[in-house]
This record gives sequence, structure tokens and C-alpha cells, in this order.
Amino acid sequence: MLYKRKNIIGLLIIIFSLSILGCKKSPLDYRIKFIGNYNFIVHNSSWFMGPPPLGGEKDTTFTNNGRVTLGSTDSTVLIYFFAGVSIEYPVEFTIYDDGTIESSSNFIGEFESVKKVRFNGGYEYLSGHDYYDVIGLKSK
Amino acid sequence: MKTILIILCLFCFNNISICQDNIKESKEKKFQIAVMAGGSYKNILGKRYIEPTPMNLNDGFLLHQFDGFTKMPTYGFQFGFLITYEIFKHWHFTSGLLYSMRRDIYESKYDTVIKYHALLYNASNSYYNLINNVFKYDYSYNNIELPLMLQFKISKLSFYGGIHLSLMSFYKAKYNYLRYSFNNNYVPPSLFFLGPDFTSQKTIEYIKIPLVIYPTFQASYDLKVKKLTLSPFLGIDLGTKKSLYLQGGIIFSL
Repeated sequence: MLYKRKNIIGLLIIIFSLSILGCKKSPLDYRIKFIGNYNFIVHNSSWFMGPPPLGGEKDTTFTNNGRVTLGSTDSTVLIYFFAGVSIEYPVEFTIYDDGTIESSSNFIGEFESVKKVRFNGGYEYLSGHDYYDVIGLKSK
Repeated sequence: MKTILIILCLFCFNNISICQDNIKESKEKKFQIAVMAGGSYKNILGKRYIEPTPMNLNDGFLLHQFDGFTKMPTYGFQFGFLITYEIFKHWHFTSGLLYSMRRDIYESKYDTVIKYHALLYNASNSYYNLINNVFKYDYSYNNIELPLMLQFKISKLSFYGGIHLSLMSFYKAKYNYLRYSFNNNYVPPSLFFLGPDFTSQKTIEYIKIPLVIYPTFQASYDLKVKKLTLSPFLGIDLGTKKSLYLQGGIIFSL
């Protein structure tokens, strides 16, 4: 009986050691700390050729409740700073370990902390431009 | 192959203890409580320089983040309490709770680091700052760790093998940058280059629940000082990113 018990324990030791040796350490997703709901303050300036309301100059600041979610690849995040309007229009950013972000659509910036993001950039068109300067604070 | 050898060793140890158990029953206490304190030294062994590897378009940046950097030696420390339970003669199971401070530092020279860049528009002074050239990554982990170890004890000598499971971590990352400035009056790509002009630092702090596993192997020797049992120990911890911690300290049995 004692011998059988000790064999079981011996087997457990082997399973335990195998599990230790077999452990593959997966690094934690560095993006997780930046994910969440944010209040964005958006400064938008644009100019389009033509008469108003489609054309003309615009310079406005508005606030918006948006969010930051994981992106389509393992090094991107989606920033929904337009969330709340009829069409959700996220911008996908490549995010680096230090919180620096950049997107292929000319947005650049950084997470200054895990609670604050700042970026700017915009779109250039043949008939005008549309620029954004955005600060986002994580909401509780 | 190494795995098989370790399993064989464990079998041998197990069988020795079984034979000895049949001869003599243990009279020691089943449970033992101890306090431990020690330090660690990381990256003392092995190659420290991280060779750059060829980049493919589909590679994530993490794959090349530390290319061309040097893993710097770092100090750490740990303390906490351990509870040891005697499974059968010579074999003990050790657990407890430890506070462990671990650190990773990667450093490079300014002029060789062009990894990624982003222009940040600074509205207050109308300059673009090139956030680029992180030349030093300094990560600190203040971990609450759960040791899960098997102890094999022969006379005064003990061998431990197992894991330290990090349950919670207060994580602090310091990034040192070399920043360049550009005059905003010039339109890209003909930016008027003003720098490199200053360095700056950014800190990101975060509490995370990482469940990181650190395989641990230790050896200790029992010394009797009056009624106290002091056990100096030496060991190794395998950290993330192929790093090795050398550990040393003392275990006080209560």
C-alpha cells in the first residue's frame, strides 16, 4: 500500500517536472494596458474647394466618447475617436512597446501613459485637406 | 534529451528514497515554516549582445525590437515565507508567497539605433519632435510570486526544483529617447533639421496579472546556529527572453 502510494507520488513528480520543462512562456500582450474607453477632445480643421456646406474652411473642436481596441494584427490598435456618430470610423495604428503610434493614413502620436493618448494627422486630397489633433483620456 | 535525463534522475532519487523509507520512518515534522530573503543577478552568463536579424515585411516589430541592443546585467531581490510539507522521506513540497523584484535593461548606442520613428507635432512651440531612437529600455517588475517546488533532502543538503509563478506584477517601463527637432515652417519631406538636440524619458506604469512562469533550481545547506536553522542557498531562475538569474540568499526555518 505504502509502495503504491509512493509510486503515485513519483509519477506526480515526473508529470510536474515535465510540465515545468514544457512550459512555453508567452509574453503578455503589451497592447492590453492601453485598451479601454476614452473621452476624446478632437480639434478638426479642414478646407475643401467649393462653396459651403461641402466646401470651404472649417475649424472646430468637439469632444467624443470613443474607445481603443485591439487591431487586426498583433501590433496594431484601433482608435475609435469618431465613435458616437452614425458611422464608426476607426483609425488603425501600429503601436510600439513604448506607446508610440503611427498609421498608414498619416496619423502619428503616442500614448503618454496608460491613461492618455495624443495623436495628430489627417488626409490630403486634391481638392483640400482634413486635419485632426486629438487628445484622449481614459474614462473610468 | 535533457528532459529525459532529468526524468531519469528523478526516478533514481525517488527509488532511493523508497528503499530508505522501508528501512526507517521519518520522525521529522510534516510541516515546516521558513522565511527567506535573497538577491539575484541577471545576465551574468551568456552573450549579451542581440544580433540583428533579417527583417521581413510581415514581421511584427516585437521580433526585432531589441536587435542591436545589449542585455545589461541587473540586480534584483526577493523575500517572503515558505511552507514545506514532507510528502515522504527525503521528499518535500515547498510553497509560500514571495515578493520579487526583477529588472530587464536593454541598452544601445545612439547612432546605431534607427528602429522606427514617428513625428510628433508639438503645438506649443511649432516644432516636430521625432520620437525615435529609444536607446534604453528599462523594465522593472515588482512581482508577487507563488513558489511551487519539490525539495529533495539528503542530510543537510537540499535540492529544489520547480517554478515561481508570478501572480501579480507592478510593472514599470522607462524609455529613454534621443529626440530630434524639425522646424514646422518647412513642409515634408524638406523638413529643416535642427537636432539631435536632447534626450527625454517616458515612464509607463501598470499593474498586470501576467502569470509568468520562472523555472527555478536551487540548492541549500542547513547550518545550525544555536536553536536556529539557517540555510544559505544558491540557485538559478530562467526568466523570459532567454535570461538567466543567479540567486543567493538565506532561508530561516522557524
